[in-house]
Amino acid sequence: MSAPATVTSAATRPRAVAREVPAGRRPGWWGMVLTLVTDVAAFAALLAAYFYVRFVTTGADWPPGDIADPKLLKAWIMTALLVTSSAPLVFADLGIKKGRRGRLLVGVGLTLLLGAAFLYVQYSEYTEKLTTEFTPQTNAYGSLFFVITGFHGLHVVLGVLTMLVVFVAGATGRITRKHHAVVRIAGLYWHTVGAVWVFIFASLYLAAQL
Amino acid sequence: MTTLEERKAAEAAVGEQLEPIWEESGGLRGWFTTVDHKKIGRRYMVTAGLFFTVAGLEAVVMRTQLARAQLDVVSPDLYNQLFTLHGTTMIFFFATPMLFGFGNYLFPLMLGARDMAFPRLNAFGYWAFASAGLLMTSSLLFGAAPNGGWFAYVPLNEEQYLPGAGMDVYSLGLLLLGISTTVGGINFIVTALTMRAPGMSLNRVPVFVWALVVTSFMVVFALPPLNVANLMLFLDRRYGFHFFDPSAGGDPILWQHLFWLFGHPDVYIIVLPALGIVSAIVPTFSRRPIAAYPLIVLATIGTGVISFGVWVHHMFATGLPQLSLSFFSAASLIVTIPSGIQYFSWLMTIVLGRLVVRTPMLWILGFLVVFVAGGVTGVMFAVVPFDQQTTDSYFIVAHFHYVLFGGAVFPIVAGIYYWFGKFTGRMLSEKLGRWSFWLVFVGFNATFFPMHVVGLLGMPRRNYTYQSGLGWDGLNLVETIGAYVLTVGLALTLFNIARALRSGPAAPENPWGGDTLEWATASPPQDYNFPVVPTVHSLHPMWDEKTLATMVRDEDDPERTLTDGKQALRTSDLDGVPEHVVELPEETVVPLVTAGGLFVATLALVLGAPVVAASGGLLTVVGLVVWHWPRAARQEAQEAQEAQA
Ligand code: HEM
Repeated sequence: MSAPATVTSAATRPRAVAREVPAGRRPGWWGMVLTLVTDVAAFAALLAAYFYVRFVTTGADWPPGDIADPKLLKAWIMTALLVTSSAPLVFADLGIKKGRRGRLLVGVGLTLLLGAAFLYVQYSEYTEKLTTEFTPQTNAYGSLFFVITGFHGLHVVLGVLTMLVVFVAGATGRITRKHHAVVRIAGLYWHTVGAVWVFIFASLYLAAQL
Repeated sequence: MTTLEERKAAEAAVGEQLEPIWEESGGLRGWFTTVDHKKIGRRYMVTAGLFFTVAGLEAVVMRTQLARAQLDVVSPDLYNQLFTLHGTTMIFFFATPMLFGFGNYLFPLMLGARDMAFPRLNAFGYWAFASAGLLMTSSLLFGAAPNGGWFAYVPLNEEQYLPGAGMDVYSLGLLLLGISTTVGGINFIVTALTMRAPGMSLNRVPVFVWALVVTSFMVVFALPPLNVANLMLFLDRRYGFHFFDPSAGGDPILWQHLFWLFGHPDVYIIVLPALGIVSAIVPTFSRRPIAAYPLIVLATIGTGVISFGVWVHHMFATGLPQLSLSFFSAASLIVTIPSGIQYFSWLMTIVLGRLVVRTPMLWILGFLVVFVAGGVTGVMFAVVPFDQQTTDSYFIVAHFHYVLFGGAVFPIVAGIYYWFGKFTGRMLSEKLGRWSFWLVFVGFNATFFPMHVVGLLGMPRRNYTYQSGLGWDGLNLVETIGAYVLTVGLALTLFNIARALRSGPAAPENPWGGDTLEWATASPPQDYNFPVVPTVHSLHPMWDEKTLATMVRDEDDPERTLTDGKQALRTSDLDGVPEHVVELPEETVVPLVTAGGLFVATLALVLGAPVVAASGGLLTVVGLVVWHWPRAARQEAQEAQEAQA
C-alpha cells in the first residue's frame, strides 16, 4: 500500500523556494510569555493578599498602628529609574536587528546601570525602614511590604544579571543580526518587571496615602 | 496486527543518517544528561508510580489501624503523618506527575514531532519533581513528615501549634514541585502550539493533547497562589512573619483563600488529562471516531475556565464564612456540566461503534461506573445543609476517592495497558490484566463504598481510632479487607509489568488499531520518533489513506527528513503550516545541576542553614546562565569562516 516516492528535487519545490526568514514567533518567545504570565499571577496573588489584609482584616487604620504612611520621594525615584530603563533596551533591540552592535551595547549597558541604580535606592530605603520604622516581623503589614517589594527586587536582580549576560554575549559577538532573539526575550522580561513595579508603587505607596 | 510498510520504507531511506545525530550516551552518563522526551516521560511515570506505591502502602497501614476499634498499630502522631503524607503525595506527587509523564512521552509522538519544544526544560522539570518527592517521602523516615492535613490550615499549622520540621518539608517541598509543574505545563503549551506536524490544524489535534494543554493553562494560573501561600507559611513558621497571625494583624482565612484559589482548579488539573486518556482509548475500542469532537474539546476548555469562575463567585457573592463549605462540593457540582458532555460523548461513541473489550477498555468501563458514582455524591453536596452534616466525615473521604481514584487511577492504569507496548516494545498479559482489574474494582468498592455509610453514621475523618459499639465496627472491617484486595489487584498489575519487561511478547507498531500518530512509530520508537515527518490529513491520521503515504512521498524532502542536525519543524500556531526549522539542544548535565541547586537550597532551608541555601540558589543561577548562553551566532561565525577558507 505504499505510495511511490516522488522524484521532484526538494529544492525546486515552490515552498522551498518561496520560504524566507522565520515568520512565526520562536518557541523561546512563547516560553517567556507564559513564564511571565504565571509570574504576574504570583504578583497578583501577593497584591490581592495585601489588599485583603488591608480592607477585610484591618479596616480603616492603614498602615496599622504607629507606622507612618510610606514616604514617597525614594519610591518616585525608583519608579522613574525603572520606567526609563526600558527605553534604551528597545533602542538596543531595534539596533541589533539592523546589525548595529554598538547600539546594542550602549542600550543594554544603560539599562543595566539604571537597574542597578534602582537596586541601590531600594537598598537605602530598606535600611532606613528596617532601622527606624518597621521590619517584616513587626506585623502583617511589615511582612507584606517586605515580601512584595523583596520578591520584586529579586526579579530586578535577576534582570540586571540577565542584562550583564546579554552585554557580555553581545560584546563577544554572540549576538548578531541573524541571532538576536535573546535580546527580544530578555526585553520582554525586563519590561514586564518594570510594569509590575508600577502596580506595586501604586498599591503600596500611593494608595497607602489614602 | 498491522505492519506499517510506510514506516519501514521511511526508516530505510533516512534512518541511517538520523541515527548518529539523535543517539545519546548510554550508561550512567546518559542517565544524568538525557534530554529525550521518551526517556524523561518514562522516568516521570516510574517515579510517580513509586510515590503511588509508597502512599498506597501508607493507606494500607491506616486501614490496618482502623480494622477494629481501639487498635494500636500506629501511634496517633504517626497516624497524623500518615494521612497527611498519603493525601499530599497522592495529590501532588502521584496524580499530576504521572499524567505529565504520559504527556511527555506522548506529546511529540501524537503531534508528529521529534521532541518537545524545550527538551532541557523537560529534564529540569523531572529532576526538580523527583528531588521534591524524595524530600517529602523520605521525611517519614526521620519522623519529620508533614502532619497537619494535606491542605495545611492555619493557625493549626503555625509553628507554635505544630513545631518540628514537618510542615516546612510540606511548604518548601510543594514550592519546589510547583516550579517543576509550572515549567512542565509551559513546555506542553508551547510544544502543542509550535511543533505540530504539517497539516495538523487545531481541529486535527487529538483530544488528549487538548486536555493536557488546558490543564497546563490551569497550572500557569492556579499554582502561583499556592506557591505564594506556601512561601508565606514558611516565613511565618521559620522567620516570625505574621501573614496568618491575627494577633499581629494577619489573617488565617487568607491561607484558605490562597489555597483554594489553587485547590478548586486542582481537581480538574488532576482529572482533565485522565479524561483525555479516556478520550484516546474509547474510539480505538469502539472502532469509530470519537463522537462530537468539537463539543468534547469545548467542554474541556470550558472546564478550565469555569473552575476559576466558581471561586471568584464564592468570593463576591458570599464573603468569607461560605468558604468553610468544602471545596469538593462546589467543584463537583460544576464539573458535572462539562464532564457530562464528555461522558455522553464517550457513551455515544461506544453505542454508535462496535465495542471490543480488551484490557485497556475494561479499565475504562470501570472508570465510567466509578466516576459517575463520585459525580452523584458530588451533586449531593450542593445541598448546603447536607454538606454541613457530612463535612469532615468519612462521607467526604468516600466521595473524593470515587472522584480521584475513579477519575485518575482507573484511566491511568488503562493508559498503561494501552500504551505499554509503545513505551517498552513488550505487550502486557491480557489475562493478568483482567484479574487485576476485577480485584481492583471489587476491592475499591469494598473499601470506599462503606465509607459513605459510616460517614452518614457520624464517623469523623482523620482520627486514628474509634470506639466500639457505634455501629461502625463491621463496616470498617469490610473497608480494611477491601483495601487488601485492592492492594493485591494493583500488585498484580505490577507483577504483570515486571513479567512483560522480562519475557513479554514483542509489541507491533499499532497493536490495537489506534487512530493517532504515536502508532505510526516503531515500538518502542526510534530516538528521532519519525524518520520522515508525516503530513497530517485528518483527525485520525492512522485511519485515513493519505497521512502514512506522505512518509514515503517525502522521504527525499530535506524539510521532512531534517537530516542536517538535531532539528525539528516549527509550524504555524493555528493551521500547522511549516514555517522554519528549529535546532534542538544536545544532551547536557546543565538541567540536573540547575535543579540540584534548587534542591540544595530547599533542603538547607528546611534544616535552617540559610547560607548553604544561598549557595544552592547561586548554583541554580550559574546553571541558568550556562543554559541560556547564546550559541547559535558562534556557529554562524564558524560557518562563515569555513566558507571563506
Ligand atoms: C490505594 C488505595 C487508597 C486507599 C486504601 C486510600 C485510603 C485512604 C484513607 C483510609 C484515608 C482517610 C484517612 C483519614 O481521614 O483518617 C485517605 C485519605 C486521603 N486520600 Fe486516599 N486512599 C487510596 C488512594 C488515594 C488516591 C489515588 C488519592 C488521590 C489521587 C487519594 C487521596 C487522598 C486524600 C487527599 C486524602 C485526605 C488526606 C487528609 O485528610 O489530609 N487516596 N485515603
